[in-house]
Amino acid sequence: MKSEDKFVNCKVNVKSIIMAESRRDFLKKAGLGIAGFTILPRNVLGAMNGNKSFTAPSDQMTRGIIGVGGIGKSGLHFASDERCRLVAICDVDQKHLESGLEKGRKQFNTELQAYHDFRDLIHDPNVDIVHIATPSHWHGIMAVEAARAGKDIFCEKPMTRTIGEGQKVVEACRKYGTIFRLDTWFRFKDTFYGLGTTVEPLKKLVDSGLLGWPLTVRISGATGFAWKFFWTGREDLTPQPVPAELDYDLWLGPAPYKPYHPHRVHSTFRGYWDYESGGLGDMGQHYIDPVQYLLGKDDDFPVKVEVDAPAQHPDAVGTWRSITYTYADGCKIILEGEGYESTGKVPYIEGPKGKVYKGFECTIPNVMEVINELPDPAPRHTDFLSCVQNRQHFALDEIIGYHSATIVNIGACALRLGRTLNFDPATQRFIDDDAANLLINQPMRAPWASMIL
Amino acid sequence: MKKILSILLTLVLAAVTALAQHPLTELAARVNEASAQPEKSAAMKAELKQAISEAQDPSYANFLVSQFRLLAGEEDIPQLAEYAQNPALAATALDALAQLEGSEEALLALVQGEKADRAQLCAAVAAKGLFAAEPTVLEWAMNTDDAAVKAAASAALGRIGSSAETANFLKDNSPEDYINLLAGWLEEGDAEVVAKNVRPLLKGSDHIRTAAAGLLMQALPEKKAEKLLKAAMTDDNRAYRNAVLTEADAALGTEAVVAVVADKSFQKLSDPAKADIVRYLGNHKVGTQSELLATCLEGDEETAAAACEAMGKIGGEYFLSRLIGELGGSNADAAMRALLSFPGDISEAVTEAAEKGTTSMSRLFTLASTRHITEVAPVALRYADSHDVDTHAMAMRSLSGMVGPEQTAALTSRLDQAAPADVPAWQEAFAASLSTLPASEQFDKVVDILHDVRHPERFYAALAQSGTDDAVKVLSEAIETDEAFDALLKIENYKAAKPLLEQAKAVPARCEKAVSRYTELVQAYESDPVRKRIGYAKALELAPNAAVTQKILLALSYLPTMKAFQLAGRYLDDPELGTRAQAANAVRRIASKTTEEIDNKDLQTLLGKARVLFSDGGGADDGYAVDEIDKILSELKPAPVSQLTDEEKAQGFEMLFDGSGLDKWHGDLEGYTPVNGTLYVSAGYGSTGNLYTNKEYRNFVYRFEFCFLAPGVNNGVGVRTPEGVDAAYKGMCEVQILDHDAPQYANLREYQVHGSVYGVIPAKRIVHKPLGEWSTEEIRVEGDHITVTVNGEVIVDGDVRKAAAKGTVDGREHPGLTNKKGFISFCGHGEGLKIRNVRILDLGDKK
Repeated sequence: MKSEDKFVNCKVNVKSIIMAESRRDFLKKAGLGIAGFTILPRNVLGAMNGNKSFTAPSDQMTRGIIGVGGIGKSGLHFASDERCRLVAICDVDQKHLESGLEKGRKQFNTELQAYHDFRDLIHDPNVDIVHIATPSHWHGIMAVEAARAGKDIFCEKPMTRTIGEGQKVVEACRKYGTIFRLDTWFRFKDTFYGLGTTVEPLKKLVDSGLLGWPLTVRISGATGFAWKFFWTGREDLTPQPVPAELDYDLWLGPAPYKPYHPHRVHSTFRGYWDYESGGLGDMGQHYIDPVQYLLGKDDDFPVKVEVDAPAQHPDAVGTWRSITYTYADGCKIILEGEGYESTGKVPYIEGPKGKVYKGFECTIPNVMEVINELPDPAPRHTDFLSCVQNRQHFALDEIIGYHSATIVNIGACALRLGRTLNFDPATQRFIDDDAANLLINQPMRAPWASMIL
Repeated sequence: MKKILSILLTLVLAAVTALAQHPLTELAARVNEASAQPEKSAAMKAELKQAISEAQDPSYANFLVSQFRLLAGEEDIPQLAEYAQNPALAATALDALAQLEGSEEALLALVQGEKADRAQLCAAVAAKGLFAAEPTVLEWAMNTDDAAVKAAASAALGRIGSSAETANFLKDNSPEDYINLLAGWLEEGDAEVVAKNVRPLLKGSDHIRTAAAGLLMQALPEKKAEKLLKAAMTDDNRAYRNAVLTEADAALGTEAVVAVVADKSFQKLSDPAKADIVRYLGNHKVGTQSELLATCLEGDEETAAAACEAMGKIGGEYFLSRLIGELGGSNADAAMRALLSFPGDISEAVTEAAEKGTTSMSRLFTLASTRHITEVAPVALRYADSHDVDTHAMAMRSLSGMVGPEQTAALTSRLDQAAPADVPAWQEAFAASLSTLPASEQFDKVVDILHDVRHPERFYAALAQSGTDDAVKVLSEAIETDEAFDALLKIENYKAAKPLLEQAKAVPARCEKAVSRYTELVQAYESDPVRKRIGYAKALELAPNAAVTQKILLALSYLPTMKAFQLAGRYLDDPELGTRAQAANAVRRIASKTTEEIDNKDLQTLLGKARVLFSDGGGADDGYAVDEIDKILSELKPAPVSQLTDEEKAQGFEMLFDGSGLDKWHGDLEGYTPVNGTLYVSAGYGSTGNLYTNKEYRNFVYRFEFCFLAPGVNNGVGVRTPEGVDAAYKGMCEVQILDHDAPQYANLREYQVHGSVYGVIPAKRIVHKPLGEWSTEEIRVEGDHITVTVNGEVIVDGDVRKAAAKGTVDGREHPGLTNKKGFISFCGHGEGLKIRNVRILDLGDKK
């Protein structure tokens, strides 16, 4: 274990007994004497994250989650620690909100502030970091609004539903000095699905040049990755009454008005183009962002995307057989859909001089010896809270996230139009395809449209 | 709409294509086509317009407009302007207009006439850059009570505004949009005006200051920008300082920034500001500030750590030696992090430092170990040989990362002679020295060593590392020793499974570890799903405690077969909650992933139990599990129940298996599973599983249907057979069931083909239906006469006594040929056969 990891993962097992109240209130009380809560001793809070600096409770960062119906409500995101405390949640479904409040009380002994309107959470002076955990048609708007309000951002993947929104988020973060983190992480930690190792040895191998160049990466069931085709939409939705607890119009937000049906919302929204792009959207950045990193293309885009798929329904996301991205230098990323995987022994990465298979099997002899002798990749800032404190860009910031999200989104455009698209990395527009360019920025309903200009 | 319908009808009548069954898909496909082929565009648009005018449902009309948008050109501006006035269509139509060239006039008219929702119009104004709309939008902004309109108008003004009035309004009401306004002016060249107006915002709230400073940096001439940068470094706010550094880098270039921030004033800055600048230097790989960075190493903790990090990013000989030197001081952690990823080959500097011993040896060794600097190994060995306990321990901790095959000999003797407490560390180093060699070479080296040492058992772990089949053999032979057993637990070779299973049975103290590891091996290496399940079943039988049972159930959950589902389901009532939870997880996962059929009753019962467990769980993921189970259960199609035909009823047939259960049968109930109306044969590999009717029969008409799921299926119908014997010989006969078309049966005897009275009367060879399709069969037995009919064709019609009179065709004794009566059975082995609709007409005992 690298020593950097050791410090980042160091956790002091102290139950937070600081009440969730505004910083102003806290400071007031601190002046009057400490009633109702205890300041944890310095030697307990200290010695963390290599900093050995004392994190005073008033320096504790705070965050709020928008969207607590799905991933937002997981224990991981609800848990507070000494450095950052959850103080607020927001949801357009009253039941989700109540359930979130309950969870805060029962599991984490915290009284959370509950909001119906995300703008209230974003503008709450007590919230430092905004966690955007809504369906992706809201991500862009909320991120820009949070940046404008001077908040830092923790955003679920896919970063944005459209390419245009991604550009706006990058612009806003730059303007306001926002520290942004995208919630996918395989490029710097954890076992990378079927590879059976982290991405790091793979990156070293690619950088060593032993595989040659250009490289083709195949993301498929055959190489250890599953494209979740159960996220398909239904074409037979009949209008249903909106449940009393759901503010459907606010759930839709910028998306076009379509009659309510439970399959559109909550756990199955990914099946509809208006909100997401199926399994491609769900898993796209998890699988593709590390590939972008491996190929060293964090500042590049593919120049071509080809799709092999049945004609897509304009509302319900369907399945696809394969999607192939090609870069200007010949590198390719090939996605194979469920049921259409290549058979036999399929390499995950293939270059003119070598191949790597799932389980990190490699055609190059003594590959681990070679890799072990290479230096680790340059250190990256993978502790988001430190980045927020030190104002350093996180290892997967909005710029990098925009690039890998764009790969996902040009794929979605190609699927919806049912044809090959050519993309110009310099202008970030499609070449000779007006309809495709009309998918870069898509109509939004007011008043949300104005929030992402 | 009518035209679309008529086109659809034509398509449907002409050819039932997949598209024609999905009208909207077909429509979108044609729009896509027209968007790439301009000659089709006009006609498509005309169609869409017609459909829009006829659309009853507003959201459907909006969808049509969104399709229209993809094809719209300048000629469609008036039509879009009309659509924009319909609230249901406004968002789409206005966006379409904003995207078109030449739409200014139409948009302006809509704005000035307020023909749509104000906020929506503002968005279009902004997207289009409709400068002429400014007066109207400003008026709205200033006079509205609606917060949303005000916000939308302000945002639009930020993009299109040019008047002082607008500027003043925004300055007072929306500093963010004010900054956008000024940024837009800057693009048009009004740098001085912008600079003057943006400066006051430097006193605003934090994020406004940041945005303002960024803009100012772009607007100011170089000298003034540099002044701003310098001033920013003395600001208290970290976010502000860093934002200004970023903007300055973009506006002035790295060299200019460095000249400003890294001059003699640097030393007077606050510690946090110094740290920010140091990080900046590192991020931009500035190689000209070695002295500055070196002095920062003496500074406060944060700056010193930042300096180490920067040195590590910038690289170079000087920083390398400084960082190595820091390993012995207060910045050791930061220096170590930097060195672990220091670019280039650092082995020379590290080896030199190790030999001189001038810095923290423990840290140096850790570095050498992590970066596999084998040149340091001799030094580490010297320290390892030390009699000083601490020195020895320190070296041993890192030795494994440094050693290679050149050190194997030295390590062999040390491992052999080590005190027992030191053995594990030497073992690790020894194994590490071999780890880069090919597996067979590792094995050979170790096996040679075994003969020469006093403690061969200490070298078993290295054998495990080689992972070869021979290693498994050698270790199995030495299995009584703990070391060999431990090694067998680690070896990555499926052949270890068998000896481990034996150990689990034979040695209770080893059972837990052996069964655990056995399970892991089965999971990783067994690719045949039947064998895999059987492996897990064996493991479950031997599992000595709940933890192991749960581990096996977790592995089982990844095996998406019907039998795995049933196996896991048995643990849903286990007394241990953890076990029940794992079982619930397994049945849920298998049910959702499997492509095999699972009986509806099983699904309902077992998933029902699982659902209760999940509901009680209450965690976030439990909710999803409940949803998933509900989805699966809601999609169950009722299992068909076979029925006698009217004629059969009249004749007196009795249903023996209609799909609902095996209550009229006994025998290998495990291997014959009712699944949704069919009987699924899954009798275990290599065993003969027989299923018997409860009653015995003499003369009868026996009818059933069969279906092959896989090639080469083998089974048979035993006639007038006692239990527990081979019906082909000890029963009257076995009527063969065989997929004789499978390639493996190319050399079949004629008395072995499907339908044959096995070994006695060959059947006429039929061509089986394709896999997965059902066939009918009837076996009629009266006295010695037997008739077999498949799919209506008679393929056997003979007398068994006569056929065997001069010796049976297979040359074997068939003593049961003359049985008076007996059970009727299904007999055979191997999976892949389905049977249904089994019924019988008892013709009595006469004849």
